[in-house]
Order: sequence, then C-alpha cells, then structure tokens
Amino acid sequence: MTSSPALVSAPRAESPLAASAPGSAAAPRTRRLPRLLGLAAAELSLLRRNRMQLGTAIVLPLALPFFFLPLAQNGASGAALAGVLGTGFVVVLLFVVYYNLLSAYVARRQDLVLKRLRTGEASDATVLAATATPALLLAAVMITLTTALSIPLLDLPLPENPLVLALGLGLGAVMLVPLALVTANITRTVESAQVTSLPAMAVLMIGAGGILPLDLLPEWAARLITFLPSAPITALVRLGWLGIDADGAAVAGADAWLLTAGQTGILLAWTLVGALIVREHFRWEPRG
Amino acid sequence: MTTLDQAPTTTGSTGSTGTTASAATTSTDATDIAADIVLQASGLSRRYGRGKDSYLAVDGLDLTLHRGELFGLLGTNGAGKTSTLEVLEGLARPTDGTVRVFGHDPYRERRAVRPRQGLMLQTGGFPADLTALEALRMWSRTLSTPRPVLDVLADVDLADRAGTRISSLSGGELRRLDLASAIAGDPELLFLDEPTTGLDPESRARAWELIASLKARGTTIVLTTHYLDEAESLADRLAIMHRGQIVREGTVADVVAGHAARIRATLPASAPALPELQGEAVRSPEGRLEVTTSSLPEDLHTLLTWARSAGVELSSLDARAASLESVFLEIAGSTHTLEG
Repeated sequence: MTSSPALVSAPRAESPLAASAPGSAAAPRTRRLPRLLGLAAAELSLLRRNRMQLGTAIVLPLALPFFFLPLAQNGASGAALAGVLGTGFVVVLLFVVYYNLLSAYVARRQDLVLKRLRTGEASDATVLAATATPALLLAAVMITLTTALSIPLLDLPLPENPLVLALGLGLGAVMLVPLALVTANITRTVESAQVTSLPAMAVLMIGAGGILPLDLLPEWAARLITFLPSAPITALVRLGWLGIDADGAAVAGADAWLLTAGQTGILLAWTLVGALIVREHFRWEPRG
Repeated sequence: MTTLDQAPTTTGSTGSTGTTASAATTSTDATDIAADIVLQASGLSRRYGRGKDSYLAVDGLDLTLHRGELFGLLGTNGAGKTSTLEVLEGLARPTDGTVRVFGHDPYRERRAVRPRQGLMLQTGGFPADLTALEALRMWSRTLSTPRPVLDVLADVDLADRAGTRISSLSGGELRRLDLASAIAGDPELLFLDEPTTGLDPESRARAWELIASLKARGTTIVLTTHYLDEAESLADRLAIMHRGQIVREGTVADVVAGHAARIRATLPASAPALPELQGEAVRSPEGRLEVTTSSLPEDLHTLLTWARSAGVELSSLDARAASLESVFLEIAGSTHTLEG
C-alpha cells in the first residue's frame, strides 16, 4: 500500500501567521455565492430523488387551473376567477415551499447534515438558504407555468401589473422559509411534519381567503385576518393581476403604490420576525 | 508497513518537540517560539447545565500546540475529550478560560480560523440519498481551498465507492468519508476525533499512513483515540485526560517514565521463599506471583537465577516494562477505586 505521494512531497509554506493577516477577512465574503450554489446543487439532487415531493410540486400547480375549469364553464367572470386563483397560489406555495422545506430541514437535521455544515466555513444563513433555493426556484417556475396555462384555459385577463404580482408571490414564498424553519423546531421527524404543519397551513389558508368567507365575518375579525402572513399574498395577486382591492374597487396611481407598500410591509414584517426567531432559537441538532 | 518503520523516527523527534513545548510554556518572551504556536488554551473549563445539576466536563485545562506536531488526547469515556475538542474547534464556547487558534478566538472569530482547520467529527452528517462523491463535493464547495474531490476520495480509498449512496456505505466507509471531508480543505490544523473507530485493520493501517503523511507535510494534528497503540505510534506528544483534567502530558517516554514494570508468573505451592527483590512481590495462595518493580532487568535476573537453582518452574512467565497501556489503565482504574 502506498501513501499518497502528492501529499508527502508538498511541504507546507512556512510562516503561517504572516499568511493569515491580509486578505483572509475578504475571502469568506467572495466565497458566499459559490458556497450557496454548491450546497443548493446538492439539495437539487436530493429533491430530484424525492419522487413524492417532486411529484406534488409539479402536479399540484399544473392541476390548479383545471380545478377552476368548472367555474369558468359555469360563466364565472375572469375577474372573480383571478381572485380565487390568488388563493390557489397560496395553497401551491404552502405545499411546494412550506411543506417541502419543512420536511427537508427536518430530514437534514435528522441526518446531522446541518450539524456538519455548521462546523465548516459556510455561515448559518448560507446553510439554511441553500436548502430553500431549489424549492423557491421550483415554485417560481411552476407558478409561472400555472399562470401561463390559466390565462388561455380560463379565459382570464392579462395581469395589469405583473411586477406587483411577482412581488407578492416572491415575497410570499420567501416569507414561508422562516415559517418552515420555526415549524421545524417543533417537528422531530419527517413523518411528524404531517401533523406539525397543519396549524400554519390552516391559518395561512384562512388568511388567503380560502376557508372563511371574509365578507361574512365581523369587521374586527376581517381586519385581523388581513394581517395574517398569507393575506398580503392574495391582496398583491389581486392588485397585480386585476388592479382591484379586497372590496373589488379599482385601485390606481398613488393608491396602488400605497396598497403595494402596505402589503409588502406586512410580508416583510412577518419574514423579519420569523428570521429573528430562527436566528435565536433554531434547533440545529436532533433532540437527544 | 510504513507506520512501523516510522515509529522510531517519530519517537526520536518526539524528544525535541517535548523540550520546545516546555520551553515555550515557561518562557513566554521567546517570540520565535511563540510564532510557532498554532493553538493555545489556558484555564479552559466547560460546564454543562446550571446550579445543582451542573456538571464540570472540562476543568482548568492548559494546552499548547506547536506547528507540525501531532498531539494525542487520550482518556476514558466521559473524561472530557470531546467536550475539550469542541471548544478547541470553536464549536462551543468555554465556560471559563481562553483559546487562541492561529492567534484568533475560534468561536467568535471563526471566519479567520475555519478556512485553516479541518474537523473530523464523530457523527457523519451526509444526506442519505446523495452518493459519496456528491456528498464530498457538496462539502468541498463550502471550503476556501478545496482539493480535487476525486483525489481526496482516493486518499481514503473510496474512489471505487464514489457512485454509491451514503445510505449503502458501511460504517467503516462512512468513517473514511468523514476523514475525507476533514482533509478536503487542505487544513493547517486538523482535529481527528477517534478517526479509526469502526475501521477494519487494513483501513486502519491505511488511515495511519494518511495521517502520518499529513503530518510529514507539516499539518498540525490533534487526535483523540481509544486505541493506545494508535497514539503510541502516531503522536509526538500526548495527554491523558481524566475527569476533565489533564493528568499526564508529554512524550510517550515522559508519560511512561516513573511507572513501575511488572513481572507475573505462576509458582508451585511447594516453592521455597522468594529471593530478595528490589520491587514489591505479592504471592497469592493459588500460586500466582506478581512483582511490581522499577528495576525490571535486575529483578528478572534475580528471579530467574533463583528459580533455576531452587529447581522451581516459573510457568506463564510474563515480564513487561511500563507502557502507555499500563499507565492508562492505572489512571482509568483510579476511577473505580474512587467511585466504588
């Protein structure tokens, strides 16, 4: 048996302390993106190998427009359909981003992958963001496909302001990442995610207007619901696609900007709160 | 095998390293020696829990590591090896005391330290559905100075298992993948926590060669192990931990020095009284003889001469000098005396 000659024949440069001083502080910063992409590539391989997760993530968004086909054939207006489609998008995000990531984070923790990565050079944020990257990209692709498919299939109007639409869905998807991480804290195994995900899923569906008929609720309850993390997603989808507010009134100019800013603020606030909780309390190792 | 051939050389260089080490700890003004210090820990303590239930795992530990040396950290289970290692590696904050690695705090200034150190954990930590190659590549992409992934796999003899899923690798193969990720970043300082546990003898010999070759190129290595022969043949210096403290430290010769040798034999009950020995002899009623002595050759000679002239047959004769193992067992044994 031969010991690796390459190793033996290359004596290390002397004077280690001198070498460490300049440039070493700048190095980690420039390496951040390659690190994120390297880890994300591994996550993508894992996602590809998880047939169940991948299947749901592809089939559900594509099936969504067909759920609304009977409504469209029954003469529902394009505006009404685009409104409920916003709720549908939230459901898609919950499955493709929230639930997928919850299982992925719990699985990585169970396999001690998070523990290992934390001993290396990548920052905590990079490690967690890397797992989220493929799911977010997949969600972006699938929702774009769903939208593109829905417009001709359901005879919908073209989005009035696609940027606002994209902003709502994009931020909404990002907001679900810390939510998945917080939920991972109370989830011991991948299997138990089926149960621990339910509260957040239920609350977010209510916020998206999918469960309770909001116009039948008392004023205060309806107001409260607009501050749930999923409510701004539907609001921004509605505004971006149809240019209307929750009451169906057309919004334009400064009012539209104000509405966008307000809804974005709610999403950012939830994202921030989630991120702070994760930073302080995230559980990186399985419970002993 | 290469490791065996190297053993005398290792012990030879050991003496000088040991002297430098003690010189550095006594005279701090010698800056040329200080510049050579890779890791320095002083008054290190680590306490788990609070109040009554708290437990002091590491208790006032001092340690200095010099560039290029291989330091073995030995101890019984629960002696505090891993707790110490975690602090030195910057994975945990000490309750008390300071650690400096390359002149930085490894916990707070991890960005300065991590690119230059490699860790081999006891835990694994690769996604089950990735292949060995993918897992190592994933890890390598987080490193500042990654070596080619296939080279690293070849170093640990896993090249032929590159396409195998983590979930299908054997325990020994996983252990070698752990070692691969520890060396993948070409570290200057390498922590190996029980690197050969679970390896078959051949892989173990191969791992020893790899460790020796890393050392030969100047890597500073901290090694914990359950195998005393591993420490004995690889380590320049070693420390034996017991109950959170370092109870012996130095070269193998230093550690063993002053410990008594032992002669054992079985005598017929009819044998006459023993001759005068330098050491202490104990004869059991069943005829077992045990001599504890610091003058092994003299006492052995006396005993053999006596046996021949008295016509006594010394069966199952076993004479051995103090070894790392006997010192270790003595220290480990003191636990039982104290607890039991």
